[in-house]
Amino acid sequence: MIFGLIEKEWRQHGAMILFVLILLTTGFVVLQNMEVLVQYGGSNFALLDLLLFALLPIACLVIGNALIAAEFRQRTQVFLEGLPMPRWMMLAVKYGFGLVFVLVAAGTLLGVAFRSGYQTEAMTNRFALLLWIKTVGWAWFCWSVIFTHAFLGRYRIAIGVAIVALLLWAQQEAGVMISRFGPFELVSDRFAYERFEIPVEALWMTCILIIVITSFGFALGLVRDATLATMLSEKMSAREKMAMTALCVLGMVLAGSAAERKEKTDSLQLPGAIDVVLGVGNVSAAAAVTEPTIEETEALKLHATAAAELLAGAAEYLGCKRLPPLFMVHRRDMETQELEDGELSSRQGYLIRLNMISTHPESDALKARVLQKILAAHQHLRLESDTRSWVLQGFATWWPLRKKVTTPQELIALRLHSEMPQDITVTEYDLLHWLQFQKRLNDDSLAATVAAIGILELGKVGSEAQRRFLGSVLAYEAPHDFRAMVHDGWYNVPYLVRASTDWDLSLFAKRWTQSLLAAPESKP
Amino acid sequence: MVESQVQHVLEVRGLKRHFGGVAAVDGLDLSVRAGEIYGFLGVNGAGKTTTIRMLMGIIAAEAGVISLMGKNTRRTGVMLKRHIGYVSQEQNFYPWMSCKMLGKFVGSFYPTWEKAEFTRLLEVFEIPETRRVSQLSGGMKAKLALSLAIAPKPDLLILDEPTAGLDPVARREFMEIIVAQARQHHRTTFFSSHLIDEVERCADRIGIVHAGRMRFEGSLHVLQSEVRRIAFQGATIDLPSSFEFWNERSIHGKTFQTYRAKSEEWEQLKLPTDVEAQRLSLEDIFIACVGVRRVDL
Repeated sequence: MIFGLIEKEWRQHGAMILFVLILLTTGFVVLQNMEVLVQYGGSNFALLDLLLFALLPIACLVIGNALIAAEFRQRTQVFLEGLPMPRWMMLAVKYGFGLVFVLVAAGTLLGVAFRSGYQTEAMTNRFALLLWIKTVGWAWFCWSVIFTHAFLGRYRIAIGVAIVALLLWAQQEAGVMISRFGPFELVSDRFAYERFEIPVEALWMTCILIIVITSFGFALGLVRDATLATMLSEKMSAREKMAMTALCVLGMVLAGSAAERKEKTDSLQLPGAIDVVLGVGNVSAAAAVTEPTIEETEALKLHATAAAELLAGAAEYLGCKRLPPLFMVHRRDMETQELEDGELSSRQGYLIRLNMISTHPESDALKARVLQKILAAHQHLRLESDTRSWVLQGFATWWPLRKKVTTPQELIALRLHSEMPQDITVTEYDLLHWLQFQKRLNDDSLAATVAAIGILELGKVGSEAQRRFLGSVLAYEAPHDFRAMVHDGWYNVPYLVRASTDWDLSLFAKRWTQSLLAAPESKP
Repeated sequence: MVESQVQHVLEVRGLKRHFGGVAAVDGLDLSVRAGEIYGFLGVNGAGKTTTIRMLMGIIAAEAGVISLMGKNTRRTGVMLKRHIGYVSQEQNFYPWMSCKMLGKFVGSFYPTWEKAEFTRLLEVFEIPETRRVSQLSGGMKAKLALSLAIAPKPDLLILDEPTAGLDPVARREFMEIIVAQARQHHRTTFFSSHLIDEVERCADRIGIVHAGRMRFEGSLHVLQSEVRRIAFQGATIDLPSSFEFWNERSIHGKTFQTYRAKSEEWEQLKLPTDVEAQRLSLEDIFIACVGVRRVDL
């Protein structure tokens, strides 16, 4: 009976098992003869450790899938159940068959490593025994996990990924030393170098885990006539597939955002900088020279103070609780009004290079640039590329001029658009696809003026409504993950316009267009 | 023959099995006599397959006793299963195996396996030994399953809707083979089906199962003599309380009521002249037994 089962498994999976075995061994031999060994100090056993840790579980997965998961998925276990054979025997044969393969594979790799090791390393019987014990312990543990995992049917991939993610999280985030725990210690970085100490505690823990995990696997395959294993092996329904996909996407987003958070962001330190903190406005101004002159130092102070006032004022108006820091660098070689962005991530803040002597601290262009970039960095550049970019551009243009202009005509005059086209119209579509509109105008400065006219138009409803709308769009503290996307979808621009002004977006665009068309041609 | 003197190969008392909150088998009783062909009749979901899976020890019974070849058990063990040939509803053979290989594999589980008989059966059924299972038609797979079930010379052959999915010709041919095998070797055969003509043609005795309970067990002749339908128009007919009401239908103002009673009681029953008691076909009896109890058309 048992021989019949073993023969069946061998006939069914023998070729694939041999293939996996050959692949592992060949891979090991090839890697041994390549430069890869250099990375591991020339130790074959360190390379073996890597293969055992990374590739043996994959080989186990392949075998586990073929031996168990496929049997349930193809329902051939129903045929086996009809034969005069206890169910436990069917499982035991599969477990034993897989275990033999895994041990043979691990043993073959170990044998290959021994062959080279006896020529290159000071091999002792104790060291060889240690390597053998650790290899067998790890291989057995791997197979037990995969054997049980294979019974989880359609959820096995998701559960497997979750377990790996959990282990990684425990190791990297929670500070749990997984690599010093039970089976993982057997193939830790000491695998290739520990020659005396037998890891008794790790071996005991591995044995216990093997027993517990294997028992759980057998329970899945035996308890209540393997009802659970049979149910789990059924194909996913369309809803389940969607739910699993959504979960995977969510998991990836969360993992991505966690990784992003974890990413170290060094705060920028400008040497010899003058720091001005005003409200939430945090400005560092420094000169890109060895010894700044008195005049330059004075200019740094003026610029830093003016910028901090600008940011603090705008933040207070919008209701921002914090803003990214602004770094200003004085460069003697730059022209008047020449502004250059530095290479900082939005998390670090915004860096601008300019000639602080020749450029006035109250320059409208400078203020507009700083405001736009800081607010964009505040929302991790999300505002620059979506339907909200007209709000950002409009506010950044309007805010420095707000005390000087109250009408589109004044704004146009002040912005020096000598040849402003008379037929600019703004539609609902343009507001939702502002970058296309900007491209159509072929003039970024003009687009900014048009956007600022939109902000002025909003002011006609009332300054409070205007402030409420601008704050709701620009002051939001966008998190790094999908929540920002959900927020933007929920509090979309048409909704916010309606909530603040009672206008729908098309009516707003119509009024905006009327303002644009009514503005007479202005000459500087 | 007196019932107590009859040798039963299979006897089941109070068998129960639930799946979640649903009672798939709910106190089922049945008995199969040695050498007979027993038709286990029921609609889809009546509990036929669950019963058979319990008989085969594939799933355990929650309550009740199964007596197989005189041995009582709650779950059929390996030793008893070796005396049973089983053909399941679906033929989930390994597609990569050849028929010969499959025979060798299955044979390794039966001490009484007769390779020559298996080969002979394949020849009789015109199934090439070397052909892979994946290359066989549905009918051929069913015949292969029967060959595998018969080759160990079992005392009891259990077939779970063996003709499901076969075309009428293959179905007729398959059932003829089963009957011939049973008669020739005096082999007790228990088969489930929801196809009335199949059961009517082949079975010596039948059991009608519905909602996990046995509604009738006995010979077809007895069933047809006991279950009759009265047809009348107008006022309701009062029958003695020993007449078990089964079903009522009304068509164009005429009422048809089905009752079960002993044949002697039917003979002694005095009905008004305009009321007639009709004998029914097995199909009508089956529908009356398991179908909707009151339908007004």
